[in-house]
Amino acid sequence: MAVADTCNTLSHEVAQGALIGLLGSAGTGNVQGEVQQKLDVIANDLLIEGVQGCTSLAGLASEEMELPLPVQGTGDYLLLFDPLDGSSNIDVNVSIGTIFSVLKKQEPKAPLQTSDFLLSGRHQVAAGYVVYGPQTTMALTLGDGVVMFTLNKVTGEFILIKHAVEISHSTKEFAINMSNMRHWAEPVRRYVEECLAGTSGERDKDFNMRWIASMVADVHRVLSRGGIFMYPWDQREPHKPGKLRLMYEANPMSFLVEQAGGASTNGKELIMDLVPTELHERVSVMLGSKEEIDRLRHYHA
Amino acid sequence: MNAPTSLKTNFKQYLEMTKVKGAPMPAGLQELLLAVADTCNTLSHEVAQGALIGLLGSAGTGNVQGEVQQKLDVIANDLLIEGVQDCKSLAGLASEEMELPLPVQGTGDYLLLFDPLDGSSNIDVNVSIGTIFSVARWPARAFIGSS
Repeated sequence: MAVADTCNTLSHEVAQGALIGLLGSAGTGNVQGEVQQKLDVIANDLLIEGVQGCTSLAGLASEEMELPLPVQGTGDYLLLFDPLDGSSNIDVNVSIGTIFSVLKKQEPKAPLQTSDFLLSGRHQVAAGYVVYGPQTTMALTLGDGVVMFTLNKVTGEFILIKHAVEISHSTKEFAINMSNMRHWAEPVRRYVEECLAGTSGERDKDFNMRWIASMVADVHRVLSRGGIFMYPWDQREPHKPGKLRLMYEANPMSFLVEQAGGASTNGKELIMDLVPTELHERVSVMLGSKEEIDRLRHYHA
Repeated sequence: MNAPTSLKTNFKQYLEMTKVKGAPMPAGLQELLLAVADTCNTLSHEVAQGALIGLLGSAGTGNVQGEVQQKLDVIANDLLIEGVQDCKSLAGLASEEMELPLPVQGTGDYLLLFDPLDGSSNIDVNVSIGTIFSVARWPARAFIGSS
């Protein structure tokens, strides 16, 4: 509830954009005579503030902060979030979002440590996102399917609009940043080249491409009408497994996608099975319609 | 680029004070652009409610109010037509959603053209969509529309 309430506040802030000086990067001037804060910093602060009263929350970790922050210090749950995903879209008025994940703390009574957070995605008890688009919509899983809510901006309530959200097993739509094609590993390049070949190639069907460059918006589309989203390893930074964050982005999205009947992999393993060694660990991500993910896993084998 | 503004100029005030190549904007054009903006304000609130008022999906897929569901682009088209009916200088309009132009005053200085809701494929997946409009000056004085 606290996370949802904060996202409601955030939705109203985002909707005002330049009117309250929220756009642009820090230091470009501000209408209120204060030092201008970036929207992702504001979102981070709002979320931290919003969950302070939660009595079972031991601590939280955010993509925006190097170290975890204790809330009650002890307690059953750990909250992880990317307060404002899709930064490059903030200033151009394209859908952005907040991603969150709740882990069960293994030793609720022990004082909070960074290592408490280093659990695989299978330990999530809840995960979701809120997309700030034409509508403000939340997708949520508690490990028993996926539901969606849309914010009634008049009453401030998230109203249930869909349950048992399901991703179709087959698809004709893929999403990837095509400009990086020459940097991908061979299996990803092969997969995409086959999609591009359409009816004249191996796949024998034509594909459509979408790329919003806002993970929340791209995954929301996959949950809404199927498809596959990829942000793969890239040879320009060979030692980094990928660009997206395991704990704040890949795990919550993978939990949602699996619960909606889809699949999520880094190529070799299911993302939900990866045991993190550090809080801000990065990972290669391919998620969505099951048949396509199975094909990608086969190409990586 | 213009200097940063005080963020106190609203659209109506801008239309009243702005000069186009040195000349004030004709009152009829001001009235028309304001009517379009007012309609887009209404539309923005409708769009924000999405599934809550049964706006998503294609026609005939069921509706929360027990009526036949209208597609958002049809609703947007209707709102825009309704919103500009009183514009005294608007001779007629044409929309991407309608095969033929529609007379408004029949005669007058301007013609309005619009795509009421651009980005249809994004409506149901909650990605930014828009309304595009264009105003043409109409030199002729004849009745427009059918025939």
